[in-house]
Amino acid sequence: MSALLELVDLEVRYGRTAALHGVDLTVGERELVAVAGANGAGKSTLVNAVAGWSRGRPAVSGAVRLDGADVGGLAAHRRAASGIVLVPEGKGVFETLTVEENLELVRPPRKAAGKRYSVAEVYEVFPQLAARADKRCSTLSGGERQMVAIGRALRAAPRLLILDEPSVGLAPRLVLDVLRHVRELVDAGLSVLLVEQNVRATLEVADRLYLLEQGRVVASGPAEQMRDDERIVAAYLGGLRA
Amino acid sequence: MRVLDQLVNGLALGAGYALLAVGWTVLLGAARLVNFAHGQLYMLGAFVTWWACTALGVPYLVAIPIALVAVGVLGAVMQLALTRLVVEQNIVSLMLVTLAFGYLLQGSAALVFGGNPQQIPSPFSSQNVAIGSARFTQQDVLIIVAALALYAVTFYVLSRTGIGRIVRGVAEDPKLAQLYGIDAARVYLGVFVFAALSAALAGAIIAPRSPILTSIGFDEVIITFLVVVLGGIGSVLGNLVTGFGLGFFVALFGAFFPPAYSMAAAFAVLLIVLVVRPEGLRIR
Repeated sequence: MSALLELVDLEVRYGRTAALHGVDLTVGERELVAVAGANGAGKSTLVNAVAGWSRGRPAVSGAVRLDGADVGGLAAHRRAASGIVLVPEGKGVFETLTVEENLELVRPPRKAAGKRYSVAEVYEVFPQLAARADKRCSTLSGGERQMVAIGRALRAAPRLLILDEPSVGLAPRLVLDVLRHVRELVDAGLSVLLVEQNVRATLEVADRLYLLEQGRVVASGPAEQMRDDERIVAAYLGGLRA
Repeated sequence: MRVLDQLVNGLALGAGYALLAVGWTVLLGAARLVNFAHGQLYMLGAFVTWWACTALGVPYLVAIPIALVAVGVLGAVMQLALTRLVVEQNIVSLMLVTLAFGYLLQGSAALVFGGNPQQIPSPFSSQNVAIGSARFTQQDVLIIVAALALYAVTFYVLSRTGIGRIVRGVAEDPKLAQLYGIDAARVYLGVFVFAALSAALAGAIIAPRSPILTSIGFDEVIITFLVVVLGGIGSVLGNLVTGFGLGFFVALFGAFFPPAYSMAAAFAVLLIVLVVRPEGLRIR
């Protein structure tokens, strides 16, 4: 099976500091791949490099291939148009714009990459946004903003949807809700690369998981296998520390 | 009656100030770019209009679009040269580079158009309109109509259209805009050309009120700065109100005190307003 996304020897440096050392990673069609790791392990650095996006000025080397084509030289807005759509950690919506304006704003890709959701279809996925359509995003709760951010990503007809910590700031009982939403999107045909702090919940929905430590992949495999991995159990599932 | 005369004068002055400021406030709001060459674009709008009227012999109303095209192209070239500095938000370099552009344009204009004062031959300048005892020209009416029309269009485009959403999005967070598939550099180009066009339009229709020299423009930048900061950066309605407010203020002040003091007085008002409301008027 040839992968939809393929990272080969990806390295990211901020000045003299390397944040990511030679990462290899793949995401297949209709696959939900998760990246886990402690704070500072390089999870956001990794997915931002895939999207060609950063608020800092990283130096990226190595290959980023979408469907076999190297997209590593494309600026972020062009990668978005080619189907790699990132929902960044933290602020992911325009706060001075309304919900509907955020959803309308997305520029349609030149050639339809994946399924392009209409605004109405986004409201079907996230019904509570419909009632907030004319509200500025600055007035929304953290969870609602995250829905707008994911909704606008769906509007961009992603082939690969990248979600960086979609559950940050959500009440614990909502985290699994969000992740189940993501699973439904994957079952409907999307491919997803997910960064998530809550490893236990992630393992419930993901197909495969990569574990990052200090900028390196230290373990990877199918979710059911990773559930039994000692390092995962020790560090994230609380097996030994409980 | 003197006060009525000055009110009418203030209306035309204020419309002129507002016209000068609209492009700048959108530019500063959307791209955080302070363009100190704005006044020289105004000067060029005036001089290209004069040149088209006198050298090409076209009517005044045909000369205006010629001036707009010329200054619009110049604005696009300027912005392309500035793109990297804008994207990197290198504010200090931007201020210096735009100031350098301003001096360069002033010098080039003096070479091309000469150093003598010129008068734009607008047919509207000699047509008087009288309201009661107050007299003003059709040119004044043109300025007022153009200012109101341009503000209405700008307000509509920014608040109601797809282009407006894009500009507002980029104004809030150009990095995030990339993730929406938007190239912020292209938006900056569009906004800069709009600002250049509005400065040229201001030059083409305000300048016929008095003789023009290639050295004009710096006062206009200062006035624009005043209007934009008082009205609230990026606030279109705030700038319209402030433009007219400043026009009335300068006109009425000039009726009772020596006009030489009117700019000092206007800046005194700026100081007071900014101490009370640091964000400017910001009418939405």
